[in-house]
Amino acid sequence: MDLNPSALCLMLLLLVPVLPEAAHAQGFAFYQHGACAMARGGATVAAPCQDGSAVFYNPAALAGLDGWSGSVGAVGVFSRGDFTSDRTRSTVEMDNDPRIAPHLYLGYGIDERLAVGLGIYAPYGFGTRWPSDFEGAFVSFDSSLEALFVQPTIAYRLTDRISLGVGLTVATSQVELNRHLDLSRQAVPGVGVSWAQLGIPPRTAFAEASLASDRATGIGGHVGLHAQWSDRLRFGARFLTPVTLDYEGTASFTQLETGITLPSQNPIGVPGGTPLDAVVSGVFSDGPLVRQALTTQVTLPAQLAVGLGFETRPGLTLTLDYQWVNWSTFDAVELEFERASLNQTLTQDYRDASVIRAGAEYELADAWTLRGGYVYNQAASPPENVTPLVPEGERNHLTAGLGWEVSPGIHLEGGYHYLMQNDRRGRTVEPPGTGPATVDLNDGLYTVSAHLIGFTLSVTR
Amino acid sequence: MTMIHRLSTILALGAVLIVAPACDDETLISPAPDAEDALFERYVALGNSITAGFQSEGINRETQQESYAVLLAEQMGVPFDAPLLNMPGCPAPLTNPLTGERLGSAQPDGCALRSTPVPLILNNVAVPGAATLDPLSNLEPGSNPNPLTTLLLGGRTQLEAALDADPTFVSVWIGNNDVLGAAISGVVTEDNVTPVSVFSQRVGELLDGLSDVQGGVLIGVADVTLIPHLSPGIAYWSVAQSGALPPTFQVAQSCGPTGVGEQTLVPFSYGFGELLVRAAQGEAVTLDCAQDTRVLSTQELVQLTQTVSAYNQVLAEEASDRGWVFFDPNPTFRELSDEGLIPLFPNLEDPGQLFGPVFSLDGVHPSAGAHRLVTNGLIDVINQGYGTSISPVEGPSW
Repeated sequence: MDLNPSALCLMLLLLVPVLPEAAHAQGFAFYQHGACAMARGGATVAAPCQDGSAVFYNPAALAGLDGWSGSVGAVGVFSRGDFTSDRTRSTVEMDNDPRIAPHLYLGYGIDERLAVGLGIYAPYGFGTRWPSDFEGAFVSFDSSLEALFVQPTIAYRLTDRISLGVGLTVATSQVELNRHLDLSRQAVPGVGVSWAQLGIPPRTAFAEASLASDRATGIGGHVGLHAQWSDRLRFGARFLTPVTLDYEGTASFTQLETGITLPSQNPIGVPGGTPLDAVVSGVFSDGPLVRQALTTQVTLPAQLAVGLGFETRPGLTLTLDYQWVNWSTFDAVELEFERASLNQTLTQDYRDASVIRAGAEYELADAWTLRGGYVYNQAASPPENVTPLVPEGERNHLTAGLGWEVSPGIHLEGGYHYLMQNDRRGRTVEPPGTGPATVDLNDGLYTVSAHLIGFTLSVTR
Repeated sequence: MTMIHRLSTILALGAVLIVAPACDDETLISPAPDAEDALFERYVALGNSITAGFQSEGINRETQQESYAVLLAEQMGVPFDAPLLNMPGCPAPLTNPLTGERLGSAQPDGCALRSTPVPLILNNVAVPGAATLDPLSNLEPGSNPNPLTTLLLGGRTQLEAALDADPTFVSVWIGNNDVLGAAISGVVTEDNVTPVSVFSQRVGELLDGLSDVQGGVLIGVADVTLIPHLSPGIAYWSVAQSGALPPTFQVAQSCGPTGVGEQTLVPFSYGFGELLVRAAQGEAVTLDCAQDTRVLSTQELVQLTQTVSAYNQVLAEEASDRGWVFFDPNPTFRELSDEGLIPLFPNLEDPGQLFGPVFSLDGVHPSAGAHRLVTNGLIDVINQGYGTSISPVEGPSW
């Protein structure tokens, strides 16, 4: 059962002064790269979990590793969302399947100061699927971006209290966009007017466009700094550089039945009773909508996170992270087709945004550790670009989890994360022509929430 | 307090400031926040040329916005999107029916196409030329598709387009074209007047298709014998007696007071469009109200009047059966006729007012002012029937 967002918000506001914390990303970022960190709301940059996930949460914190460590796990994302139309008040639910985000970390302490590690994680990605008859299907009805980072890392303890870590991030990614094409927005071949000008109604789906990329690779870096301020207070910072991915792929188009039969005396000049589909079918065989190559570029944004970890009393550690994500680099997606007439710019105009994460970890007796956390993130998408593609917005998150030392050197971590996105107005249509989107196009309300469950098994030797 | 505690407190307070605005859900927005009543939230108008906003043998975005349907929606306080046509129109309205000049010097078959961007949902789905079959089918034999059928609705029927708008309230003014063609042609036959039984069946089918709508108003078929496109034969006789017609244009005594001139009607399209044109070219022509088959005889007029009356009986009963309201526009037009605002003969001295202030320059379609009267008539019956308080529009200033 979902929690009541309003009541939960009130509760969180009361809790925050007690637990100085924050955490979780926005846009299409993903921050759950270990069950332990997830349970603490991701507030780990100053006090990473001892499961090797420091490769992501703070590469510098690998320094001081004693021997081998390795962990493997996955986070299951069970999201739901819907769109309610202003006009009709009818609600369409997303068709999202559960998604699994794996993580794998290896670390080895070469000596007391030097350590190396390797992490595989997925810091960005989304998958949104709507019913194909959804009114927003002309923006997107089944789209995804998957990005997997492989990060070899080296960490060095500069002094007894200060460590530095550096990682090379090799990102591989695929992106897919499936949408319907609206005949009313297409030009009538050889006439110089649009089908809308001849009366074809908006949202006349006449083709399904499937734009799928091959796997693209990009390179970036990850730098971390960790400082032991005192015996009880720690400071951490990390910076993940942007990664630009140049995708090559294929665009394929499948004709859809419009169900429209043209009356006689129609302005198209065909006999009455002619199916509109027969009139437009030529574009699929020798027109612009033939299968063709496609390129595009996406920059996965930089992240900067700073945090504090404070051991208030033995066994209880509170953490607070602030994260900044350079989402403004995700300003537009240029789709460049082999047939240049199809080229299109999907304006996003994301803006830089902040995340606050708060976490707590309490060591219970008998090898059990209890964790909890809270995250707040700003929206990255501007109010005029909340679409079926990524209907994101401000979010509050609650997290909790347990750690269990199965036996010396073997830990099993479990975490739960509840994501509540504030209901956010958005649109289901693209702006007319080549003009920018405006909030006037917003025609309803997106509701999104998710349950995330993760497990990580770690071994140290 | 230690430095660490102070730091923790500061960070916590900072977090509160950031988080505090984070709990504000946005909400749905009413598409019609100023609606006079929720019943009218999604008002859709079905009909023919009158509802579409056709005037003076033409239609464009300006005439479309003068339709009673637009005015009614404004008074209801609800958004109302029509399939607007670019200026000068499709076709452009006449500016001088005697010369055939049209707005923007456009050709009679010219079409400036639809304005863009087009609205996602249409509230005015009326199509000029539509008879009772047309809202149901664009393809069946007997339907009357024309270029505007596609231009306005893109191949959908009126019923389909109306349902796309998920209407809460509809107005339906259909049936005029089931008799109008006969009246304008001057020849009434079994083939050009829709039988009442067929009319009834088609209206029933259309309204069944709108059964999910919460409310509606049916508008009665206009008495086509009232339109100034039709002039009494005696009017031609009087004008001929005054010498205003060319000497080659003779009007027989059958059109005079001793004949059937007061009981017959001559279509403008015949009297002017054919006879006067031929006379002006030097050909000797004669209008004979007793013999000329293009003149509406007394019997034909009775048939037309009785048919319209029967149509309106059907519409009134359908409205009653469905809990809707019915508006008969004919008392209003008869009153205007009695007041002399509908001329018996075209006003040749002022081509800009050829058919008076109530009708546009084709003598068939109501003027912008008449649309205002119709709007107020509709508002009266809707307020009475639904207990609403829609305020009237400002009446015409003629």
